[in-house]
Amino acid sequence: MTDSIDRWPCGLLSLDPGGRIVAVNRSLGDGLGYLAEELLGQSIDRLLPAGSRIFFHAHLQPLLAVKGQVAEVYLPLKTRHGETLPMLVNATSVAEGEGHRSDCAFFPTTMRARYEERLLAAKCEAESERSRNAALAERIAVMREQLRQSLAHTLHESLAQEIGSLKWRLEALHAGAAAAGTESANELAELARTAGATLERVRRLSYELHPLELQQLGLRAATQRCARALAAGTGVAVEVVGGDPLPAARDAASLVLFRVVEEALRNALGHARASRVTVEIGHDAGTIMATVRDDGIGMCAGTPDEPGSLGLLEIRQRLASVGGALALRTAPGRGCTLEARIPRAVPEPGVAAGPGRASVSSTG
Amino acid sequence: MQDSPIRRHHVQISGDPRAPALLFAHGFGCDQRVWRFVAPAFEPDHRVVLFDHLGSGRSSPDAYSPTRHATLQGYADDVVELIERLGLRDVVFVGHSVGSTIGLLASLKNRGAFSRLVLLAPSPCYLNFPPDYFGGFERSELEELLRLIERNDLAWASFLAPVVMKNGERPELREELQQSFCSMEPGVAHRFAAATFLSDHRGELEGVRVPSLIMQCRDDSVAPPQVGEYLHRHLAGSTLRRLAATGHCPHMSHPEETVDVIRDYLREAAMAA
Repeated sequence: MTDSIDRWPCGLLSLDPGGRIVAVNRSLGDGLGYLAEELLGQSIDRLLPAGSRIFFHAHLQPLLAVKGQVAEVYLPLKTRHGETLPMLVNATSVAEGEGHRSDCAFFPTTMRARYEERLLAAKCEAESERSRNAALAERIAVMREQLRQSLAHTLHESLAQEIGSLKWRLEALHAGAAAAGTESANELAELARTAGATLERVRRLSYELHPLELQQLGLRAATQRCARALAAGTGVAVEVVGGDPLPAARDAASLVLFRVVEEALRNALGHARASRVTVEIGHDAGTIMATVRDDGIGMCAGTPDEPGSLGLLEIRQRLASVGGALALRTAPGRGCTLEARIPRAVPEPGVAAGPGRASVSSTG
Repeated sequence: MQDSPIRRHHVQISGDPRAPALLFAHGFGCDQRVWRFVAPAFEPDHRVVLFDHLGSGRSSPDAYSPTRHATLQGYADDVVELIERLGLRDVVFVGHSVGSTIGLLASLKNRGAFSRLVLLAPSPCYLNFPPDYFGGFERSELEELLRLIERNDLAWASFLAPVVMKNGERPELREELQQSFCSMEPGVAHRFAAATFLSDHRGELEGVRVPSLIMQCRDDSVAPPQVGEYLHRHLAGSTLRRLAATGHCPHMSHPEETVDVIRDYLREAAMAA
């Protein structure tokens, strides 16, 4: 090496095709505790700790041979005393005779390596935190569904029946009073009507908490009823098309898909200013899917936070929990299409196997 | 076609379609383009098939499975599937480094598919198990390699988040990554390296029935000579050839010798048959 290059503030090294050192500058020798002359003719392996050695031979050398150059590769070197020095290397491959010579420039990166280490640790921590959060969110979603299901069941099976029998007895009393011409007849009729209205409200509440017919009649029927209920009084035409992908819809996937459609409908009917909404339920060999299409203002980026609203973020999360994915297509003034897909063979999280379902399916 | 193994593995076929098939499997940290100096020499009298392992080169990113490809068995299943889908028979399998281990494992899964195995710089186990076996490395050294790969992944990860890669929302990034030789997606390299360098496939060797050629390089600091000898002792019907070529990638550094040795072996094999 010429005198000036010898002292340049980076390590310079040339290797022959066999990986032997044919030139090295003094800066590199000094940094590693060698006289430059000692290194000439030695294999590069002498300067490579084991990890670097494999990485160099299995990855870097072929890369150099084909691409001609590599840049900013992290490749620690080993000092004479066996210490490892973090280094970045840039290298080029130069044709020479029949083979190729590799010219390498090494930059010590001790400080930077420390930052990177912290960055890497922070990244790992963030990742494990994220998976913990996702697991927690999933657990909460499952527990909420179980709670809703069991509330819906109690409302539907016991409260509704008690109010139903109350209504029936009031009607019988009213019939008796009316026949006898008693003056309480009118009041009894009014009470029976109130009981009937309460019964209807309890049933609707039960349905809103959990669509029991999802288990009993399947996804399509449940979606149809949900669409009718949500569209009532809005003046928006909602159509449900497509065949039922899961006739015996007793798994977590159909509940997740139902919730996604419900949320998309809420959004389309409440915020998108649509006049027409189409829900399509379908399936192919490996996937069940639901598409909700509206002709609104093109807003499907999610509903504002409101009680009972799942929001787009949670939709994505719940779809992901059963291996599914969400696709949105929208443009201002051109409506919105939301498509949810779930693979058929999905791992069933707790909601399907939990006690809530058992109690519901026993009534179904 | 989206799902065909041919597309998944970016299979490239050349040479004589009626001639015996030569299937080339690249090693860790590379892709099929490492065979560029060797494969063309076989085109006149072979059907030459090149492919990328899933997660490497220009294979379909969606086909890579972190669970299936957590072990070399998953890669071997891929090879068997590929051979069956291509309708290849009596395949001469040429594998480099971990590619050769994958070939050994594949030959146990479909015994009839292979006629010969050519193993370049192979090693069934990189770990030392003193006093009986010296793969060349201590566990701590191989863990150091994994950290090194992770570190070099960091550069990718900072702007090519795995999410971006999977969602395909920015196909140009994936394109860019795939164009670059020997690149792997973030995380894939690390997992492949762990499957390669921390596994021990010595136990499977005794079951291999396909005759093989072990090509042992001089001064190979990844697969040292004693490993080649160990393989020779434990692989029935194996031939050990010590090359003049140095290093770990003779197909790149010494393509002529590599071609000659494979040719000689296949010629002798044909004469013996």
